[in-house]
Amino acid sequence: MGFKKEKIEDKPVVKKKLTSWIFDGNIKLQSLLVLIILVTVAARVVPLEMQKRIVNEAINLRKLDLLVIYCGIYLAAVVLASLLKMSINVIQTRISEQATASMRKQLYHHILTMPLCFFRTVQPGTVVNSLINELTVPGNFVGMAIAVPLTNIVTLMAFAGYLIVLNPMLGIVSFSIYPIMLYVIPVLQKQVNRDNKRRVDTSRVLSSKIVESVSGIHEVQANGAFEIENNKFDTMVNYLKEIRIKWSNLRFAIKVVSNLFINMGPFLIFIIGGYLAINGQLGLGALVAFLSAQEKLYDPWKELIDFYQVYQDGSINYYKTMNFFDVEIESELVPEDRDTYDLDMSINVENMGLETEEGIKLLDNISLTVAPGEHLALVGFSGSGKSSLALCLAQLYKYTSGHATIGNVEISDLTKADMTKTVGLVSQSPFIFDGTIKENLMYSYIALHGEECVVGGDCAPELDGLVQVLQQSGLFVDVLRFGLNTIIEKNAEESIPVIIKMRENFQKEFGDSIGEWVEFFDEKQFLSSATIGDNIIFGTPVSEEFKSANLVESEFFLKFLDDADLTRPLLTLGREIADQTVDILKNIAHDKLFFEQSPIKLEEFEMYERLVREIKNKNLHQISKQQTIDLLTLALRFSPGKHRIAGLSDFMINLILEGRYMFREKIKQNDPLAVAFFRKDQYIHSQTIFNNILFGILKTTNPGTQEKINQFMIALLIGEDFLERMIEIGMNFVVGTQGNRLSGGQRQKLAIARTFLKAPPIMILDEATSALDNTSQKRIQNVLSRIWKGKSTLIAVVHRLDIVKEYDKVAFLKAGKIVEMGTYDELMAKKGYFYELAYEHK
Amino acid sequence: MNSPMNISDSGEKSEFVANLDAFRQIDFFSGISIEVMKLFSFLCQRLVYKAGDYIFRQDDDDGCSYYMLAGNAKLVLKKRDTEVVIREYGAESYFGVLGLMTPMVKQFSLIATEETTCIVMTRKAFLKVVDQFPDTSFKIARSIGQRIMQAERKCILEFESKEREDLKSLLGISLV
Repeated sequence: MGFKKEKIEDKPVVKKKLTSWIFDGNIKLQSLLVLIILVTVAARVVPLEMQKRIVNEAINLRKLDLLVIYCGIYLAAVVLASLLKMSINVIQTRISEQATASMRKQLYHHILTMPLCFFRTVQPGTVVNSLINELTVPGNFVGMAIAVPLTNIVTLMAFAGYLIVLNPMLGIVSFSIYPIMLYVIPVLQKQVNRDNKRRVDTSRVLSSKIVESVSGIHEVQANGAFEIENNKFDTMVNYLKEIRIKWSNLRFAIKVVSNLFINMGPFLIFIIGGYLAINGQLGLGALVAFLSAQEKLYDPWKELIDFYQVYQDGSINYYKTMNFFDVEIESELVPEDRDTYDLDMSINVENMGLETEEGIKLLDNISLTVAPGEHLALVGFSGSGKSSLALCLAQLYKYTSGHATIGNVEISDLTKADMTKTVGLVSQSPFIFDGTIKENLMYSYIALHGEECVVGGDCAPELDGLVQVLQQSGLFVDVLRFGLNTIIEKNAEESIPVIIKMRENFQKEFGDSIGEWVEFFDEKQFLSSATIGDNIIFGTPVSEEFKSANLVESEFFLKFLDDADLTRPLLTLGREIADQTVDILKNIAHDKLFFEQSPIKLEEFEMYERLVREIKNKNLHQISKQQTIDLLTLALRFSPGKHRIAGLSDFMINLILEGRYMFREKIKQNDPLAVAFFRKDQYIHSQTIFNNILFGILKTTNPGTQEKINQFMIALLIGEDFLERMIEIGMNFVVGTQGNRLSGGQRQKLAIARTFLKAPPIMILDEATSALDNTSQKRIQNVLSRIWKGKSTLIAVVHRLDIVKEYDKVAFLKAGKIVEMGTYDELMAKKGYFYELAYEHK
Repeated sequence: MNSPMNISDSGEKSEFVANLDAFRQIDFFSGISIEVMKLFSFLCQRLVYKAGDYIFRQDDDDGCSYYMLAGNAKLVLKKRDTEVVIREYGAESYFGVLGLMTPMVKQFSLIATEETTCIVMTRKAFLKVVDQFPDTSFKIARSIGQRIMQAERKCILEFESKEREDLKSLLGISLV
């Protein structure tokens, strides 16, 4: 089971006091700290005494040996104090970071188990901000909590004691300012705290705002609502700015007040100490010690003030954050006093209801039974409560009345671990995580069996098992396609000879069957589905100069066209294309669709319209260099299989084929590495595996054709014993953030496959196939009926009524109630709601 | 300037010109201006089907119309598990004009009985053209109306002459 039994905490993290973190797992470090601090303080007082002795004994008595000894001790104490201070900082940082990390981890673990309703009202940005920003200061506080007050209070007391012993009156006077500060500063701090609370709230709102506009960016851009969004954001930022300014100013004010008082210290010493010294009541050495002590008091006091502020800010951030997430967790993660249940697959619901806080009954008095292995379809109009019912059974919603049991145990009493073991859920818009197909496929499986066991343990699924669920969900072909569309990296070169062999066999075995959709690369054949430019180059350009877009700018290429007698016929062709296209598309509003089958792009149309006008009565030798280039561009882009606007004569085709040969010869002499020519025995590194095996060009972009070619390709891969390898390559396809490189259908298929792989006793599908085409839906339904019936109990929210027949039972929901339940035939015979819906559907 | 009707300078009759010739044969397009016909010819595609291939399928809205340039195909109605061949079609047959104007599923399947070439136009392309020339759909609707009228008249004649009571329930379609 993938649930680690974490140390059972007495209190959930959100109930913990900030101060409880100080010793939480840090007792040893904190004790060490106390020890070091005591030594440090002692090391700090020594220099004071040495100062006095240097002045009073060594200098006054003119004893050089004493001067050397005292200075030596002074130096040693200073060095020791610095080293100890350094080690205090190291330990303190460690404690801080450890505390921040623990807070983050525990809070994150808590957040993941929070009820779904919480997340409906909370923007992800708030959660991010809380976890990343708001816990830093509390963490700092934990690090400082022992070290700073102890060091500084003990230091202050040591200094105070020493000074009072030295001269009680002067000692008391010089410390008399501190009680005043202890009164003034908290008053100011209250103001700071109030602003800090506002700052935390506003930052939270701001984070949510950013997340909202980023997630809804398509809506913002589609509506051109930049101003609305900018205004909202700017207003909030300005508000935050004002709060931050006030907050920072008040914090500085506290420091200024504190500094002012501290600087009063030397003033008092001078005036009173000076008077005493003049009267001979105080030695000069003692006065120096007093002045020096005043200076040394400054640092500990400043650190205490800083600490005080960190404490105040930290506790505000901490309690605001923890209180925000202090929502009761509905189900325990793991059972405390038993193993996870091996539950029977039956489901029993009695008078179950789900009511919102506002009193709306989403589900009302639901009762149903599903026997082990039985399949139940939930149907009804949208908003009828189908999904709510499914989610209640998956424990994602907590029903508010009645009973619902799995294997005779109340669902609300089950822990998350029990649910994970028993239930697999596929939601309507499943979430796909960034990573590979394989990682996503294994997600539920790993959650069930635990990472250790799956990675390197003995529950790693066999490749056959993965392939099987990919086939069942219909994702197999997609994965294969991802594999075929992979560009092999340098480290997988061992596959290359195999692929070249496959290329040969593919043409041998399937060349006749797919000949009508594919033109294979053959040096001696013109490719009508490729552009004239590509027909001449007949390879993959390595040098930028020979890439399609740059050809007409290459002097080398233009000279070649002349030498190959191609310039003139290409110009004629270019002119014909321009004339015809302008004739058809002039005077109408332009749409992208009109240009899909034209070598002229939408944005170029006006330019070509002008060009046609300008060269109307001219001969080709009379046109300008730029006009020549523009016409050549069109001709080189022309592909007779794709563009219907002009035809190519056999003469022209032969000329191009001769040109292809001549171009290759010229490149060989000039720059042999500039183009990787298509050769039967060579792998094309810049191209996908598919293109390398196909070694040709598709005549159509029709998806049906692609599908057929894929089928032949699969047959070949099976024959060559390369299918599994290709699936492995395909499963390493990276799906992108939230699976954005997959289609909606592929995401659903992946989610279904991951539940099949987990093979839970109970499957809950919440419109799990809604994004799939009819054939895929039917295939998955077949798999469910053929393979899973009897093996897993199934509750499926179904929106397509033609697959409902396959279910053992159908429950029709209306306004949160089950109004009809029975077999498909029974409900049809009843001629009630279901019958009506089914009839309407037809 | 070249007329699109000419054989092109490069010596080959382009697909565009051939399409235009074909579209001029279609009844439904008879009243349509040459600019529109040119756009249609420019935007459609040519597809080749082997014997046995489905050109379109019953109960499927492919949103396309088909002009058979060459070949032969059978129109099939699937009734539960049996297939009834309604009739055969040869070159110059045209299907799917209604489906261009509005979403509708095909009520029959058309299956090539030998290698067949079709000029295929999509609803998307058709509607883009109609956006530019709104009277096009009106002209096509007029042809469709006439065709419905002819069919209804044929039905009525059959009904009257042979007293085909079974036709009664089907009568009245021209009153749509």
